[in-house]
Amino acid sequence: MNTDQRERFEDRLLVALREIVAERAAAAPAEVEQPRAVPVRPVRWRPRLALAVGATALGAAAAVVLPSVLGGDSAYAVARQEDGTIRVEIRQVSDAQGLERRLAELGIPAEVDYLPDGQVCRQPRYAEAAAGAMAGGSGGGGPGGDSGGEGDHRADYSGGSASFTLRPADFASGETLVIATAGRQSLSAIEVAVVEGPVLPCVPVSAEDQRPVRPGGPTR
Amino acid sequence: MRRTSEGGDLRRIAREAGAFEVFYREHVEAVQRFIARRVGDPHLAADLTADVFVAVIDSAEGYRPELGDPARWLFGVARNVLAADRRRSARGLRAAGRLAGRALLDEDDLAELEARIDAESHARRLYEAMDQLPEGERAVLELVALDGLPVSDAARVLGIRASNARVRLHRARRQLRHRLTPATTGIATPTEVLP
Repeated sequence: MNTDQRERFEDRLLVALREIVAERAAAAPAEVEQPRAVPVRPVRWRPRLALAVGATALGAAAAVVLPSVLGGDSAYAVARQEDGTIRVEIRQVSDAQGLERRLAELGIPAEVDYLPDGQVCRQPRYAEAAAGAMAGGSGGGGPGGDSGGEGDHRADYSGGSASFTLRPADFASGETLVIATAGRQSLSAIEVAVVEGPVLPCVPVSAEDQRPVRPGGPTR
Repeated sequence: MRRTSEGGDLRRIAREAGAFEVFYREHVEAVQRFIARRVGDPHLAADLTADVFVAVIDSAEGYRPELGDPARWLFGVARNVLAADRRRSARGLRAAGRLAGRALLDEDDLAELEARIDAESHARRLYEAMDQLPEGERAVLELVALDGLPVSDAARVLGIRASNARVRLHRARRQLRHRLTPATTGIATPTEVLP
């Protein structure tokens, strides 16, 4: 910063920002400050497919929720497919960090949280919603529904594991893949979202407290 | 946005005001130049400067060293904030940030901001010319042509492979070439831009 003595914009901004940091520090870990209020699609915490990720939904938050049971012998599998898409399969709710690292290697920034049954991450966690791109969003498939809908984002439930397919290009401008599951050993529910902008750390809350206010409909 | 910060400490800046201040002082000028290459209104530039650092505070705990050093990470955060604002303004919206940067400006600050914005007018015209590009290609071109990052660094900021970034850069340049007068260093420093 400059060497002159007058107080400048940068100094005043620093004071204001330090206050924000101090507020966060003062808050208990369970009281992480929420991002600017930006509507995100509420997560349906129901044992069925709630909606698919919009294929071109730059920054859109979208979620799939589906049931699962334990299957397979490794916790997860991430593989690049011939068409360039990346298939993610979660078989067991362990080693979230490992899954994050594996996705990062393939160019997909991810936040993965595995929670006990009945818990979800407090919403909203995502700071930005897209420009009118809240695409996707079939109202819900049946239990065990096998397809999430459009584009290259598909969510499947088969063979006892949850899987979905991603296009790396959709993460080119800083989008983050957010995965949150419930279940102690086996998956009982999973939320998958592609979001733009910062993602707050997961603050576990009871799923009952996080029921969507307006289930089924995009918030904008 | 030099590459000097200690990556391991970045997560602390969300909770420790002292650590945040070190990071802020190191990067605030670069962030303001980054914004001046994209925004011509000094009041909006001040708001966005505040927005970028609020986003830094919000997302620092999610920082992971394998995604790039803090300077590159900051480029990514700033680009996201600016891109989100661009999309909103295309719809005639301006989200109210948590912190109104413009309220912190005095006359001298405005003069400094305008000078910085004037100095970046070439870059800004290039930025505006990028409106026709697909987002993925635009992202690479911005970081390389506007911000001077090596392609490999831009790739890391965007979380894509360097080869992929080079392909996008090539496509982006090809699409813009017919609208930009060739310059000796490619389109990074166009002497004349739009009609």
